[in-house]
Amino acid sequence: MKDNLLDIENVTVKYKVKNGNLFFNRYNDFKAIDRVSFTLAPSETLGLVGESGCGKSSLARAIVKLVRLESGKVTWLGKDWTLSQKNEDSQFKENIQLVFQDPLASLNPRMTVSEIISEPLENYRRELTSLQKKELVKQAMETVGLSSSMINRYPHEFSGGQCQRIGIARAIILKPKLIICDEPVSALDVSIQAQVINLLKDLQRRFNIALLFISHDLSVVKHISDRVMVLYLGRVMEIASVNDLFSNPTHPYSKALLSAIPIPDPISERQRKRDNLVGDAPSPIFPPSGCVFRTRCRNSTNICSIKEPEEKKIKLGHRVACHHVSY
Amino acid sequence: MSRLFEIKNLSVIFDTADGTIRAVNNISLNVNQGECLAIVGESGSGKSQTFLTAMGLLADNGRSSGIINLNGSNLLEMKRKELNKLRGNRIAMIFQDPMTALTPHMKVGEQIREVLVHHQGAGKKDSYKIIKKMFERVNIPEPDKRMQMYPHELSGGLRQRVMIAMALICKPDVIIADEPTTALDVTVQAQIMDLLKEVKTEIGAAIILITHDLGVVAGIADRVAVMYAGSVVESGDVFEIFYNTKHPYTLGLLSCSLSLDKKIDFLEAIKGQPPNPNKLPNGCAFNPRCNKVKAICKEKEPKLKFRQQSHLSACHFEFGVK
Amino acid sequence: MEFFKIFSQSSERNSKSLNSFKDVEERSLWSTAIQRLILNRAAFVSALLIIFLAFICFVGPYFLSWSYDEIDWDLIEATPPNINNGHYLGTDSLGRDLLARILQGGQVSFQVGLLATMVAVIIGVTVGSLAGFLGGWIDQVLMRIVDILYVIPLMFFIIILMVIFGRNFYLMFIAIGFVEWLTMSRIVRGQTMALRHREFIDSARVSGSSNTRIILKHIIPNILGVVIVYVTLTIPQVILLESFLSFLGLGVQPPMTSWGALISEGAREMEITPRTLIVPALFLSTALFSFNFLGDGLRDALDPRDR
Repeated sequence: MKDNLLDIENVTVKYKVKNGNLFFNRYNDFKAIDRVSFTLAPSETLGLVGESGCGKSSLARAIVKLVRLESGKVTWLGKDWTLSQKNEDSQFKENIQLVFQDPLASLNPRMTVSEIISEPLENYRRELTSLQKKELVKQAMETVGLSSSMINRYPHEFSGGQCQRIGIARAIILKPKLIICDEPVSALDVSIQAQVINLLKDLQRRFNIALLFISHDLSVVKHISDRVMVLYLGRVMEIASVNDLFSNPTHPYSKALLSAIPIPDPISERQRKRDNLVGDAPSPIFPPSGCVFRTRCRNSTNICSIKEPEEKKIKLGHRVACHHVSY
Repeated sequence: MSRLFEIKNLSVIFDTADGTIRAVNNISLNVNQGECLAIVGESGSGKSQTFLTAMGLLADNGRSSGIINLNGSNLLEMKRKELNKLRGNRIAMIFQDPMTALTPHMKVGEQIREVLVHHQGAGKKDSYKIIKKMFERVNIPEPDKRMQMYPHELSGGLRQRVMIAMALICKPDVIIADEPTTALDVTVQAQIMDLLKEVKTEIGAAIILITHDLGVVAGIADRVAVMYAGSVVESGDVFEIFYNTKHPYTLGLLSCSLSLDKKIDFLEAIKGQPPNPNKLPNGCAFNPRCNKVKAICKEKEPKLKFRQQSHLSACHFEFGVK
Repeated sequence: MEFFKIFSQSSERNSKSLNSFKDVEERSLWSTAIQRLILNRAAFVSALLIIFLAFICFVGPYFLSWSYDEIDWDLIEATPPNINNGHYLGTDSLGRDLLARILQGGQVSFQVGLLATMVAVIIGVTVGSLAGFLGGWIDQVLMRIVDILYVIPLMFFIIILMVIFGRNFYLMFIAIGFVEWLTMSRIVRGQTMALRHREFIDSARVSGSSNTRIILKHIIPNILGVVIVYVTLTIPQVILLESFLSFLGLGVQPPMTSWGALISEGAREMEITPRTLIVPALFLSTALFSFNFLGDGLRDALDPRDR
């Protein structure tokens, strides 16, 4: 598929955890991401949903090479990037930017807003004069709804929502083709969340940016995404278009997630039939055998503990990894 | 109905290097037996400070004035010793992050027993039985094993269940739950909310739920108080608040909370930033962000007024339409 | 550039509400720290005292009628202060002007304090930030070297140096600096490791910054506060160490002197002329006190927990 912006094929990320005693170091490998595949088209939004420990942040960091890939292939515009050399990286890296969860922590407290936003320019647009850079920074600030008169302020003088806008301004200044948003609104207040979501949607529409939107909140994901991927303990459970996933969730985990989200409407919230999962998610260091979800699944049978389910295609663009789903 | 827990004209002021901050501004609230009052507000709205004051946990640079009555006795005038008899016994608190609220180097069973011994003078065998029963009640699997564990060995959901067990162990009259599910995953949040609902009907304790999540409020609350910049801007019955909203801030919050059952293209966001608590705007604190602002809003501070029976709102205007 | 221009208009309505911030002065973390330091009276007075002491040590000798190595042959023994003959604090047992000697000793002590600390800072920050940031085997190797150097007793090390290279004024700076950087590098390494996993380092990487740029622009400015505090606490340590060496006879050579050497001389005649011990000791302890108070004040002023 030539048209895809990003192709992720069987990507695996492994971490080492120290697990020894005073005299011997023992290391346990665990797979934060296990053979995940998906594609992303230009100016599309893919929502990535999952609970803590499901590896969504690892996946984001693996794509931008902050974390080493154990195996798998990342293809950007038809070119394999997993094997690329350092000098070729810039074309890839300047087109993928990241927006982080904690707005204040992702900004260097000793730098002014102008220095923070122009950092990508310092690395990828060295030919520009400092005046041109400043002009670009001001424009980016206006674009994300910050007054350019605040260019010489420091991050601690801003509120959380404004800090997130600074982070977004830094992400768009190189006019990237893809922005990965790692829980961009979960640290913000409700009224500010809505502002940032609107801003992201707005930017995407204007600049034709593709978004990889990571969140634990299905209602946010539903609002912003075209397609949604559900992760559990580093494995893909279900991937489908927004309408398919929300009207016809097929994997038991997706169903449980949907039913767990509270609805801000007393009458419908109280009439709902809840199908609660039991217990917490198991530790990703020691995942269950077979299907990783089986320990919390109502439908689990013998086969679930023996064999890991393959991803089945039940419809165009709708894949589910469950033994008990038929075509 | 008797007023079990009542806050009257409470103000909390902090002295900081940047001047005095009015964290809580003359608020009055009450909650009755078997009722759940939800306190809704954004960060910095003073919702947590109000109840930390009630528990006697105000920071050193804070001063409070007003009355906080529990069963008719004022908590703010109590000596430390008297307060210690009530805290954990008649009034209990569940914190947002159970990992930091539990002592890390003590077994959880031990921690709960300490509460039990302190308040009820229970013996070793009795307390063991009571704790085991309570663990079973809050659906902790294998209670014998869990009691011997340290907090870091438990998962987030189990830790919060332990916190709840600890809060319930003396059968308190009032339980204050400060964002009890914010640190948890959604699937676990659903379990914990169900547990709180059961507790409410079973024990008949009053629950004060502090949260920013309107979805959680919709599921459990009987009454709601919305706080903004240290003041209560609207309070009343949960259905009144959701379906007959009278304050523009509440309306804004409702319209910008995302929901699974509606699909909208453009979110109606509240503009601007929450106010800086040491530099509140003149008149109505919400006026710089309000989309219905008039001249009077910048001059006069609106008072809480009855709009309907037991529905109060602090706005100069009558906004009946949604 | 056209790219952004088109859209900046529509976001104007958004930015209008944010403009209310304008009336606040922009303040960096450094300037707020300096303000806080000025408000801390003990630290502020200490800073002034240090500047005053340094000033009179370096400028004062030009206004005295006696130089530090000149012997007043009329007063070949320790004499009490006398305004008429220009010995404002009297003379020492060899008839040299005590004030001139104290000021000259102060010059040496301040120079040792500053230069040796600078050596320590340069080596310590470089090694510490490299070890902390790069991690892995580089960290292991550098830190094991530090461990080994820690084991060598200081006195032993300095005596050997003195024996091999002879008594050299500058050698002392290097010797002391070479010992003090060990602690500095450990502190810097710890701070760097804490910073390395902060999100803004990740975001700098995603913005394409190289390791060098990250260390220079992101790591070092953020550990500078700790380094400055440590510097103000190291300077008195170094001055004290130099005094100790001079006391043992390993420091500066006569007729040059330092506060430590003066105290050592004075101690010998403590019973006859306590003045020759007390006056230099007063200067030394005032300087040490001031540096320690300033260090405490800086630590409070730079403490990031307040913000």
